Amino acid sequence: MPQHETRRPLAAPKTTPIPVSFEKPRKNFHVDLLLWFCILWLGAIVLAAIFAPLLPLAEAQDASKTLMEPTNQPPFTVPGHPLGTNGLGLDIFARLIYGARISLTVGVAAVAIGMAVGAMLGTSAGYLRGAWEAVIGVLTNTLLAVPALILLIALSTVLRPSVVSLTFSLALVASPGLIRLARANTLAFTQREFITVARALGAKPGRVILRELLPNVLLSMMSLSFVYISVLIVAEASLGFLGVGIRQPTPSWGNMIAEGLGGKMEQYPHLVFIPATVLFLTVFSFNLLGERMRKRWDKREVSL
Amino acid sequence: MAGTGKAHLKEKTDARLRVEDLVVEFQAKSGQRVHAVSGISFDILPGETVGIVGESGCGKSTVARAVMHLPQPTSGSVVLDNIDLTELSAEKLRESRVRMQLIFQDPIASLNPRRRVKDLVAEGVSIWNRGDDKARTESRVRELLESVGLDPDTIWNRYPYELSGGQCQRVSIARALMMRPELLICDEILSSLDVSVQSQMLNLLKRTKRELGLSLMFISHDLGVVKNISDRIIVMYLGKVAEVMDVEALDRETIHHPYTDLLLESVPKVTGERVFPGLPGEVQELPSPLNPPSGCRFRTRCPLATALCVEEEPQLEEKARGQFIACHNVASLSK
Repeated sequence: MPQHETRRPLAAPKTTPIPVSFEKPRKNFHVDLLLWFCILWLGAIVLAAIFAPLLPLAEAQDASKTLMEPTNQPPFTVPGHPLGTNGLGLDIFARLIYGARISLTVGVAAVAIGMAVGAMLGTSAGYLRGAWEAVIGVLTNTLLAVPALILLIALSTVLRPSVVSLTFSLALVASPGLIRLARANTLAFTQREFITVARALGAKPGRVILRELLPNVLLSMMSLSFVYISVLIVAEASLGFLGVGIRQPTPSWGNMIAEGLGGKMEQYPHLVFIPATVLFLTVFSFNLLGERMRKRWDKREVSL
Repeated sequence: MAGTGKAHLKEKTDARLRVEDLVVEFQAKSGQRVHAVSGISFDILPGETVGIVGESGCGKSTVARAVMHLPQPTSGSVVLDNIDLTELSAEKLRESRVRMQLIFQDPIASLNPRRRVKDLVAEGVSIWNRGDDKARTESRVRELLESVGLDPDTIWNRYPYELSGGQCQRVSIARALMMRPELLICDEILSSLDVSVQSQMLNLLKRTKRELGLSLMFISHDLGVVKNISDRIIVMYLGKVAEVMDVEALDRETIHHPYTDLLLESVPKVTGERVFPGLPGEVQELPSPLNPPSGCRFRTRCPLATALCVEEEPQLEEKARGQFIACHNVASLSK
């Protein structure tokens, strides 16, 4: 190729950048909408769950008060029951909101407990090493070896199903993964010089773990916590569906879906589809939010 | 090059830090042992700056950490102010070690990303509960930040990632000085900074050292920088000492260890002439510390190597005024 021709491309791309710069903001705009939808959805669910007793909701639990109400009504047909009623005439909208209280409480509390336990055990195992790490390793692997659902069913037959026992069972299921994550993060952070400096300044192991390692390990675990919440909400719903979670008449999303069992779903599909949709949207929102948080924090790790 | 031998050590009672026969070995995955540091001895006098030079992988940083007992050396003794740290219990070691402080190459990794500058600098005080008087601690932190050239009001509440590399390094220095150390160990602290900041840091270190009467152990791969700040220079090669010299030796016509010559040659000259045209100029890899050469460790790269170098490890001997050289083939000037 002659020399002067190789210089051409410098001037050539003048026309091309325009569509590129056009496409990018549009894509971002679209993505933001989805994110905002998820935030709004979760915000609405959380607020409704918190203020449920103050809201003017129809009866959600006590079937003796709904003897006169129509049963199995599809949505938007009966005034006062925006999402219809179930087989006992209980208001589905109200049951969804009371169900959200249980699903969210159990999911969030179980992840909080799992994170606290997982971070403490994982970080101390990763920093102290030796026998302690071996003990934690055996414990973690044992828990991971038992299928989660079987462990949960086994636990719920031993413990009386309640919000508290469910929370602890789910925390137990979540903790081995979180312990491993904390330990792996600790191993990476321990290589950083600030840990050596802390020891040079005279920090004892307990202080190194609490002051230097935990804040960093917890931050990197944070983004995963939202994904874990969604996993545990699904697990709680599965237990409810199998009848070993929260028992009727107390509503949970899982046992609401289970109301469609026994051929009722074909006749009254709204009994299943409404709670399933709410469950889906909530899990989707937690996942998306978790994913966005991870991306954001990863970026900051890079800029460090 | 060997560098066993203690001919270069000063009077025992004079030294602030005296390191003898320091050996650090690591267990490699394959069951082999990494001979990172193989029996080096040196001492540092009060107010003295000792520079340690050598190429990457020669064990400089390992020496720094072994002196701090982070982690503990495999064998040898580290004596600080006539207290042998190797014999101390963990608790006593924790107390004695504070009199030495360590500053690292990577200024950002040296600071906990989740702590603010004020807490980072005051950390040592809060560990030892010397901070009963909050106002006094705070004024001392401010004073130190100012003395290292930072504006306390601007960076007081900042996180490390909001600072530049040079600023982070200054915070690290302030944090180390907060403990009123007697010995400051600087491990390649200039390597990640740009040249203009490097000279500022050198001046800062020199000034601080003079004002506080600190001893300094200054580790670098850059002979030019080490020459600028040191009183004595230790040249390390593959876990051994090749040469110990007073810094003046670099400015006069004298003999050197062949490895020192190689390092001197690698310093860029304005003239572009090779000072030692006899030596091979190309870069060669360091032999593996997993399986170091027998006899003199430098012999695989040494232009003067003979059969004797394979057989026998040379000892450090005073071959010229203020120069201890571990080489069979460098003729002595002093006699």
